[in-house]
Parts: sequence; C-alpha cells; structure tokens
Amino acid sequence: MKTKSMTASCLLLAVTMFAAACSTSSADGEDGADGAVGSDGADADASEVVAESWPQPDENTSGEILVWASESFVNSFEHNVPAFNEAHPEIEVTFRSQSQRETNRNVRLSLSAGTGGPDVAVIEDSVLQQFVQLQGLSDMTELVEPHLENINDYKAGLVESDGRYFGFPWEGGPVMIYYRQDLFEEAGIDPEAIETWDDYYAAAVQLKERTGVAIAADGMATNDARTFEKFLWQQGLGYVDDSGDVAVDSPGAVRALEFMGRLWDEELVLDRQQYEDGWTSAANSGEFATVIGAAWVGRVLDLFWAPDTSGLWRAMPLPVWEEGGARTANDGGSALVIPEQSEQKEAARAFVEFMLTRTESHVNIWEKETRWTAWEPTYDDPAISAPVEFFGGQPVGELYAELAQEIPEAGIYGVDYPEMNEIMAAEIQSFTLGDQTAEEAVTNAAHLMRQYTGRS
Amino acid sequence: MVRTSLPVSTKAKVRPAPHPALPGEGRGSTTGHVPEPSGPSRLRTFGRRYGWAYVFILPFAIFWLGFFLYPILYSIFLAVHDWPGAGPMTYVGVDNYKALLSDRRFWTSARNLSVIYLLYVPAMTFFALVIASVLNAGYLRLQGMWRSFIFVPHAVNMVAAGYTWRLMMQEEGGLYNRLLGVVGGSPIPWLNDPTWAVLSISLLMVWAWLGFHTIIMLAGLQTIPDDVLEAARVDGASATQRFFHVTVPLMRPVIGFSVVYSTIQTFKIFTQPFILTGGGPANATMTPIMQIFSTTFETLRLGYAAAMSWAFFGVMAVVTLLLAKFFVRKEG
Repeated sequence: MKTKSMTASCLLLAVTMFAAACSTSSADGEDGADGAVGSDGADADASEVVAESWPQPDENTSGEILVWASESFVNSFEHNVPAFNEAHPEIEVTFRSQSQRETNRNVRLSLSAGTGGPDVAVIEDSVLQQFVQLQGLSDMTELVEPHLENINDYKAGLVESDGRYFGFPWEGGPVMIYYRQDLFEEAGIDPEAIETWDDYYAAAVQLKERTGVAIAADGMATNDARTFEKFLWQQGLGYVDDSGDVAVDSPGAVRALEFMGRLWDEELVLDRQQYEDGWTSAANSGEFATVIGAAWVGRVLDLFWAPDTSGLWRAMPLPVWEEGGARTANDGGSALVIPEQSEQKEAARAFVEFMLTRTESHVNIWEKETRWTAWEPTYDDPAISAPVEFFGGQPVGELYAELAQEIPEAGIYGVDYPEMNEIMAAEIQSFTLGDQTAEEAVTNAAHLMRQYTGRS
Repeated sequence: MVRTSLPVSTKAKVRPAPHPALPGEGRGSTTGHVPEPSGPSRLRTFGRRYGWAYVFILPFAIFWLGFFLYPILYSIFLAVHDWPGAGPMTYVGVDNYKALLSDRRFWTSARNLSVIYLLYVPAMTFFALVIASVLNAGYLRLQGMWRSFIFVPHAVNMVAAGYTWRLMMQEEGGLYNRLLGVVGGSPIPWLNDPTWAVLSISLLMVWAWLGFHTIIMLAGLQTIPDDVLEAARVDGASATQRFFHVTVPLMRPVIGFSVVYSTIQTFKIFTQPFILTGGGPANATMTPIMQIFSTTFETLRLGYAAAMSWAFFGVMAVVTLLLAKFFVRKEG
C-alpha cells in the first residue's frame, strides 16, 4: 500500500517536472524560429492587421489588464484609476511595480519568450527603440497619429520606426538650469544676464570668488555622459546624424566637452557623481549653486535630494551656445507600450487613451505629483501656472511648458543608445583623468561606436 | 637541514567496498544466489535493481538537462549567430569570434582581470595560510571566536557589502578618508583613480574570501600529524623552517585546491566591480563577465556575448588545468 502510493507520487512528480521542462524549452524554441516567422508576417502587412486589432473601446469593454512600471509611475497612474473605473467599469487594472530597470529587463524577457508579459508597460525613451528592434511591441500608429499635433514635436521620433509608432509618448524632459537664488544674490549674479554659456562661466568664476561655492557638480572619473548628452541635444547634435551615421566627433561636441573640462580644471564644478549620495548631500547643504537638469530633476530635488533647501531654488532656460540657439534640451522621458502578445488589447488601448489622451488625466498627475508630460493641451490649464513652493513660489510649470515646445530633435536615443552611452562615458572619464584631449575623446568614441554598432 | 623525504601518502589504496545492498534487492530470492541472467532478462534485473535509483535522480536530471545542459549547448549555437534576443537570427559563422580579436574593450577587460588576479590570488593565499597557521597554533586564546570573526565577511551578502564599501570608499566624506584625515593622511581616490580602483576591488575580494580560504587551510593544517612536526623540531628545525619545509609541502594539495578555487572565483568576478565602480574609471575595472553581461542585457547582442563567453571559458579552463596540474604534481 505504502510502496504503491510512493511509486505513484514519485511518478507524478517526475512527469510534472518533465512537462514543466518541456514547456520551457518549447517556448524557447518558438522565439528562435516560429516567433521570427510570426513577426515577419506582421511586418509585411502591418497596417491591415493592426487596423483589425484595435477595436474602439467603450464603456462596455471588459477585461483584466496588467500594467508594469516603476513605483513612482504607478503612483501617478493610481490618481486616475478611480475615474478610469467609472468610465470603464468592466475593466480591472492591476499594477506591478518594480524598478524601471527591472521593468525594462522583464518586458524584454517576455518579448523574447513570446509570453508572460504585461498588457501595458512604461518604457523609457532612451531604450524604447531596443524594444522595437525585438519586434514584440504592437504597432500603435492608429492610436498615436491622430494626436501627434498635441504632443511635443521631438517626442514622435523617439517612438517611431519606418513611419510606424510603437509607443504612446508620455513624459517629457525639458532641460533647464535650476539655480540657488540666495547664492546668486550673495555673489551679485543677475540670472537674467546669463544668456550664453560664456556668461554662465563668468558667473561661475564670480560665484567662486565671492562665496567659495561651486557652480555645479558632476562626476569626473565617474562621469555618466549625461551632461554631455544634454549639451549635444541642445545643439541638435547627437551620437548619430539624421541618416544614422555616427556623428559624435563634431565640432559642437568638442566645444561641449572642452567647456565641461574648463569648469572642472578651474574647480568651478565639484567632482561628485550626478544624483549619487555625495551629490545629493552637497545639493542639500548648498555646496553648489546650479543643476542642469530636466523637469523631473526639479521634482526629485524637492521630494528627495534637497528638501532642506525648499524655497531657495529658481529655474531659468539654458544659456545658448550661439545667438538664436535652442534654450533647452531633453533628458529622459518615457512612453506607454502595448506588447503584441497582450490578449487584452482593447482594454489596454482604453487604459492608454484614458491616461494619455485625456487632458484631465495629465493635469491630475501634474497637480498631485508634479510629473511633466509632453501632452501640450495640459499646458493651457491654470494648474500649470500655479506657484511652486520649492521654487519660492515661481510657477515653474510655465517655464517647463515654454521650453518643452522648443526641444530640438537630436540623435541621442536609439537602438544603440546603451552601448554608445557606455563608450562615451568611458572616453569622458579618460578625458577627465588627463589621458586625452576633448577632441581625442570624441574621435575615439566615434571610432569605437562605428566598430561596435557597425554604423558608418 | 631538514629533509622533506616524508612519506606523503595522499593516495592510499582503498579496497573497494562491497556493493551495498539496495532497497528491494534480493527480495523474493530466498536462495541468496541468482544465476547471472543474459539478454532482455538482464535488462529487467538491472531495472529492478537500480530502477529506483534512477527515479530518485530523475528530478535533478531533468533540471540539469533543462537549465544547465540545454543553455550551454544553446550558447554554442548562439555564438555563430547574430541575434538581439527575439526575432530572426542571422548565421554569421565564426565572425563573432573574429570580431573578438580586434575588440579593444574585451582585451582591456582581460588585462584588468589579469591585474586583479595577480594582486588578489597570491596575497589572499599567503594571508589565508599564515592566518590559518596562527589560528592553528596552540598558544592563541579564544580560537573559536577568531575563526568566526574571520569567516563572517564571507557570510555577508556581496551586494550589501559592496554598497557599504562603496559608501566607505567615497573620496569626499567616505569613512576611510575621514579616518585618514584624523591621522593626518591625505584623502585617497579609492574608486576614482584607475590604479586605486583596481586595488580597492582586490581589497574587497580579499576581505570577502579570506575567511573561506582560511577555514580551508585550517582544515588542511589539522590533518598534518603532530609527530611529523615533532620530528622536525627534534631534528633542530626552527619554526620558520618547519613552516616552509614541513607544513607548506604537506599542504600542497590543500593550497592547490584553494588557488584553483580562487582562480575560478576571480575569473567570474562581477558583483564587486559592478557595484563599486561600474567598470570605471575609464574601463579600468571592467571585467570580462561584466562585458558579457552588458553585451547581453544592455546592448542585446546575444550571439556576440555567447562567443565571448566561450572564448573566455577556454582561457579559464586552460589556466585552471595548468594550475591543477602544477599542484597535484607528484613529488620527485
């Protein structure tokens, strides 16, 4: 009796495990061969297939959708969930919050496996093209195209591939200068007079002389190339040009890197890795006076990095490189995507449209979370002009709105961005260590980028 | 002089133990002697005798096939393709391996690894042996406490330890530099200078693994018979002489294990540089495994990463085999 039941349970265990192993490997096999065929087919007649796959959702649309995003994105969406449930009572939304890095990785794995993914996910603009390359995202052209005129111009290109759109643009990252008004006043600096980067340099010298405070902080041997990327973006340059060729060895790039080098050399900029502990504690204790940062930086300074300095900060447009040049750049930003494998596309579409094409949703998130959106109709709302306490009552939303519409297009983000950023960071580090000049740094970076990405 | 012509019998001949009875074996055969069957009935007897054993190892075998053997074989296949992780694969033959030859970053990471290896393994092995000898010596009190003390770092999660070390090694405001400041030293760019960063990582490796290897050495030391050391002492050998001419030669297999083990550890180094420096400054602490990781998960060039893994595995296998050969070499 005993032996028999043991035999049975052992066999059962073995069979279950074998079945589990088989199902894993068959899913694995699919992504190699079958998956490829499937996505090729989808590519060939994308428009017809897509037209069929996007039924118009209404209040009777039902389903359960799973949304993956970092915790702070989830918090933002949750403010609109009650209204969403009212409009779509039959749709149940479940969030799974994990860090954005994990979200990226897990979405990638699910696209690769062809199963196990979310119905909607937040993906950062910087890596979105990699997901497009994996061919597992739904073509959302039909959803995005009618709204393009309502979205910041530069955003469209970040989710576009071969004329099709694979994500719905959401957050934007207009870059500006956040400055400590009290320190500027102490040093006798008029922020209005800082119109060019040369003026900024002069202000840095004056600030150092009169108060001993640095103008900014950025890591040297720990440089992550993010400041450099903002400088490129402001000039409409990038790692690649319009035709996709490597173009980081441009005079504008050399000028930007030389400018950074000069500030470090003269100890006008502190050597602290951006946004890391040393940097945030220096920000909170007033060891440097400006941050060249996107709209989200203002939000995080307020919430986490420099809460003790509330009321002392102000924001202003970036100084220009040349007269008439852009007064802003972009850093960061994100979009919503719907994986092709989702079986709840109608409900997923309802979620995306409710969150991103409805101005009230954006306004609500701005009011509760000061999260900046690329959805332009939001900018006319009175909430945008509300005074912000952290900025001493300055209505920074107005400046964000003004700059967001001026962001130039640049060849920074794309399918090879992670690789190019890594290469550039290492070259900048070796520049700060005095091993090479700015010109050599960008030339070497360009050489490596060509070698690794196979671009010309 | 003390001669070391001691009878080292690490390979004592062991008589094969009689085959232990398996459960169920012989059941039903009252005679106790079954004539040797042949053909299909032989297979049946085999099945009856060992069937259970195979059922018991089946779960492991399935996991091993699915999660170890299959990925390993698959990576051989991947290494000759271009593939971003989904979608169509492109066959590229040995191009991935060829590209490795001119991959400056890969060679930089290999060079960094060699430096870390040469800093870490000899230092760690030496200290482990010395500390184990001290712990093994009779005159130290509270031996148990010291042993736990030295082993504790090994039990700490490397990720947690890594972040703590990173905080302590900050150039501005880190604990180490503040302590240096107290004694009047100038701050050290622990993680911000290419040379120091390599040293810092080796230091963290020593900290994390010293306890483990000390325990290994200690176990080895305790197998050395007292009478051998006693005989050496009677012959007039000093403590140093006994250490280098009796202890070390007798410990050779144990030291060999320790060195081979830490070689593999070092080759696989990832967590420490990943957390402490992220491979910087200027790629000075980039290691091959980090390179493979970022090529796979950041730049999504899975075929190339697989080729890198195999090339790297080849080098690691050769080095390990040479070391193993050196340490198990028979005494002349």
